[in-house]
Amino acid sequence: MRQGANGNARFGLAILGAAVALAASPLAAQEALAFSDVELERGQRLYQAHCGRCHGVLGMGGEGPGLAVSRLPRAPDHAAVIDIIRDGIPGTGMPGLRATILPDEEAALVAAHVISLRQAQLVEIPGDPERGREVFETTGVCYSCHIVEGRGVGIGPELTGIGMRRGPEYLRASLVDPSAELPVFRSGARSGFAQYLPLRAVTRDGTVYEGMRANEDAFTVQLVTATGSIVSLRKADLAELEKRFGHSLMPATASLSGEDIDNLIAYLASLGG
Amino acid sequence: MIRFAAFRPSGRPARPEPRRSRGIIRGLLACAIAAPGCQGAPEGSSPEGTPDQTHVPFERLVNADAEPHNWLTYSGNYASHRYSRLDQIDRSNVGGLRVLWAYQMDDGIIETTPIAVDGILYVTEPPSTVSALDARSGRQLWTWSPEMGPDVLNIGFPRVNRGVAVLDSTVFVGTLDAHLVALDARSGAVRWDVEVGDNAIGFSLTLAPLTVKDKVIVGVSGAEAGVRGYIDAYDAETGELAWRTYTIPAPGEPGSETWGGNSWETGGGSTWLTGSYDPELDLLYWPIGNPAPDWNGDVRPGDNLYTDCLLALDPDTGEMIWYFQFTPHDTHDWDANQIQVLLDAEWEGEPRKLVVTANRNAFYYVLDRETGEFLHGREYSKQTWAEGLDENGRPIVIPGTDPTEEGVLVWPSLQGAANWFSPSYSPRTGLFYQPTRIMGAVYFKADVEYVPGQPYTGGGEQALRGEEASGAIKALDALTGELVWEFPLLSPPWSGAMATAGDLVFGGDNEGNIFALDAETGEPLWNFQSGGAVRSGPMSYEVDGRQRIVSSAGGTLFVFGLD
Repeated sequence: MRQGANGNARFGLAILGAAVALAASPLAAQEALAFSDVELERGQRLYQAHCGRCHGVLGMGGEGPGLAVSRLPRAPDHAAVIDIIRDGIPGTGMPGLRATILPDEEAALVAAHVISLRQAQLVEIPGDPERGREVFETTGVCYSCHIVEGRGVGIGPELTGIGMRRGPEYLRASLVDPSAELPVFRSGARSGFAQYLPLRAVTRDGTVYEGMRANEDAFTVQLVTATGSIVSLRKADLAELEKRFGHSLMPATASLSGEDIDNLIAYLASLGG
Repeated sequence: MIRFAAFRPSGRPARPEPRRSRGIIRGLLACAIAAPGCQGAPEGSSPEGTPDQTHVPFERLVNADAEPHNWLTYSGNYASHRYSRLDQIDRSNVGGLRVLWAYQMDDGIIETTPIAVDGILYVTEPPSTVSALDARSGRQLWTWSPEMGPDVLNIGFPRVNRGVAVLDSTVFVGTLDAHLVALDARSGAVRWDVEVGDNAIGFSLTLAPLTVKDKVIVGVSGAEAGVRGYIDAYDAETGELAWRTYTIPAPGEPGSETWGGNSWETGGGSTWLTGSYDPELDLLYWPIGNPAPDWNGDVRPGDNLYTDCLLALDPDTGEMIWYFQFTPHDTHDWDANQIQVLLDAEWEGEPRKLVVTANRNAFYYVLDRETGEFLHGREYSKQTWAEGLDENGRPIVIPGTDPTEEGVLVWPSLQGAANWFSPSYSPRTGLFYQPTRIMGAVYFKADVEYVPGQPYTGGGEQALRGEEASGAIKALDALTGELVWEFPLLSPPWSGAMATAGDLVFGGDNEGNIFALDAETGEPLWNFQSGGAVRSGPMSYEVDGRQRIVSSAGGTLFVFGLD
């Protein structure tokens, strides 16, 4: 059943219909039905162009979280999806798309497609999150570098809520071959720069510092050592500064079984979900 | 339409701020209101007999190099060298430079170059505010803002302003809603206000005007909205339009054969960066922007004159004396709106008057500025779109580098290897200092239809970011464009450079550094982490016999000195 399934329905009326549907029923999923097939198809194409790179063309996630899930905690309804498209999510990789990039009409269609994805619920995660937690805490020794809900050591990325920020395939790749691709900043002044980039700096007097880049400019570099010390260096004092792309300080999880990894992914995907 | 402050029959009222405490200022304001165009005190003195700080006749602009304690035009002199002849701050002491005062502006991007006149700095604040500051203390003397609604269009560029021009006792500013406004230099009161273009179809003014003889010359922004660009000259006294030279020829005019169909009507060619002027040849040099739509050239077959050109104009009439086109039939948004640097040098044994420029398309050009003859050109930054330049300076374009629906990766990105931010030329080193963006982009083409007041671009780009892009201050031999040294920057810069007679080059980066390099070697000698991205037009002036260095960063204008 499609409300307003008239392909010629004016956009303004469609949105009005959505608002009415939302007001009338808490079941926000109905609101996407206010868009015609033609509009939803256009929304899908726009989604693929603007969102597919991180959220997956089918909404199954990637560097960003999967959207083909039963519930989007940050975006319960069409209006909230539009807000996130416009404003982004500070502190995450989700950038805001301004109207010059995605006009209001198109943002509404993209949001409609995102809402429609939840019916697909394509994202399936094998594994048992409870067992994954055990792996995380024991054999995985993950707390020695990661913080989850306040516990652990903050060398690598914080994993609190990681299930809301990354898709399961991205999590798998990060576990199996962490050096293959470092995460990059997706928004803000450092957009596009690698995070957790391993550095090796040698001062003119021969002192060697190794760690991950915290920041850098033309004159200075700041790094965090494997023991968590923060080192501030002036480039003028360095004889050598090696940026070790293709490396990660995160150890590959080769010692874990396939089942353990599945369980670990299920646990991570459940965080913040 | 001309709107006098005193009569103001309709439209936007002037809104000078009431920060005038001195009798002298009130008296002059009364004069201005009683008789628009009244120039107040006689030349060279105020009614109270003190030296007139705010009188800058044309002769002073011509001889700007003779008063290095001031900074009288956008680029420091008519030749656009952005070079300070002050040498108090030099390689031996620049390490002791520190902030003496700062001036904080409202939210927005600061791209202004302050004009310094005898102890007063005239700055613009985003989007179109003008403030006069005490050059010693940074305290505001007056400020003026146009009344603009939030619906003012800025299609294709941020809500910025790059500065004012001065002439006699008047300060001239272009506004985002495409007005040119003349303000009394002592009080900020409006002398006249004219509409240069219709903002509702995309015209804006972001550039610092250029005053030449008795005229104020301005260019327009708006190619991304499909305007037909022009350069205007206004009578400095009255605000009357003296001449208008369109950058896109109408049918029957020379160059019109380079436009297919009616594409000339929406052909772009905006004129949004300040030109240069040669008083001896009496020629005005003005760079022209990209054709519209930017990335879909199918709708405008031909070379699309005079987009991406340098024009030499008669400043009295606007008549075009010669043109040179850098990027024929541009499909990458490579406006030629870069600073045109005039210098005299020996060329193949003969003294020659030259104009040189590092173009957005990543090539460096040397032209004869009397004739427009192409003398020399070479690549100065990574580019993948041309095999080189032919003997006439026309690019030998590599096939398959035009944008497509699927996307094509080309260097440089649409923001180019150079852009609005100024290079600097030091006559002491003979080097041309170019902040350089080393960045590629995937260019896309899309269908487009012209709708007045809407973007008319026909595609876009996805620029490479992060570690895949970088920047540098490149020191080029000004006569050959050959690299002499470069200072690497983490990301493609947005700040201009300024060389000084202290053999320093000042610059800024996106990471917040305002810095000084050795002009001969590029060695970094000083840097200040400002905490905000630098998009500055750096300049220098002197007050109390002490040299000052000025650069903006984030929302703040910083003034540095040794004392």
